[in-house]
Amino acid sequence: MKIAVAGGNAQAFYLVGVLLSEKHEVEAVCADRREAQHMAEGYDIPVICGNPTNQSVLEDLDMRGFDVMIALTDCDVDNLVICQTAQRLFGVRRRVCTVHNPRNVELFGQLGVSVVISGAYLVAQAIIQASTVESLDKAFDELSD
Amino acid sequence: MMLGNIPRRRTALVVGCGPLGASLAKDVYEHGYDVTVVDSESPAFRHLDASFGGFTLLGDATDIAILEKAGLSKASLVLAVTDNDNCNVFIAEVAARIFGCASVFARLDDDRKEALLEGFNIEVLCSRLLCERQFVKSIGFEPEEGEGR
Repeated sequence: MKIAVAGGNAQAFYLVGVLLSEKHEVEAVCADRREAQHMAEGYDIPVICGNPTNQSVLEDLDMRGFDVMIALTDCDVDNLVICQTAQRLFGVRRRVCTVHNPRNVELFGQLGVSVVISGAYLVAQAIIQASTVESLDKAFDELSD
Repeated sequence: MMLGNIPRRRTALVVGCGPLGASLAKDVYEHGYDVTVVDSESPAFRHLDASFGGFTLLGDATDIAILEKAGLSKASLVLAVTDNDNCNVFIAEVAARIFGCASVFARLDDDRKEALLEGFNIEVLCSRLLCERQFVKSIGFEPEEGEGR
């Protein structure tokens, strides 16, 4: 699949590596010059340096024809705007992002992001679903797999 | 319809207390709304006029918990006027699309982001467009063909 990754942090760097090893076509947008350089040196992919919440930056990427946008910046609302821009202006089929605030998992889902991931939310779900101490132990065992 | 001697007051939420947010908060207060102004930095509240009789709330309005604390669920008017477009997009969408607020305004410095808010009953306030419109009107140029609003 054709996948765009926005954000230049360790998460983005790691994910680009995984996507490439799974034979996906990947392009990256990094807001920070140093991060863009790190990404370009690490992988043989097109890398754009610019603010990914800026429409003209995504136009440079020529988002049309992309199947997935993955927004991994450190700012929740930036990730929302990146996903919404991909959806509404470039017709990207699936939008994925990470969030710091666990409550944004449900909110962003309602606002058009296909998959919203929060570490604290995942841990909370495991705690809620496990009704006893033993089952919580088991839930954590499953999370660690 | 509510009857009685207490006037029925509507509730407004203003997010961002820069010079713009503070002025708008005063306008809305003077028109009989119960107003709460939110900003993440306390010095911002100095922009408020001495005659402003609404509430202030210090907090990060990109956190839904702060918006709820500020009374978003009962606000009939919401103004998202921080200096960050992405924050304003988030606040306006939560107000209009999730809480169903009747009247929502969002300040955008980059008017191209207007496309994100189309169709959600959110009014966009863009200083560039407003200045341009005012200039065209003041100097007496005919509006160009296809010019929006």
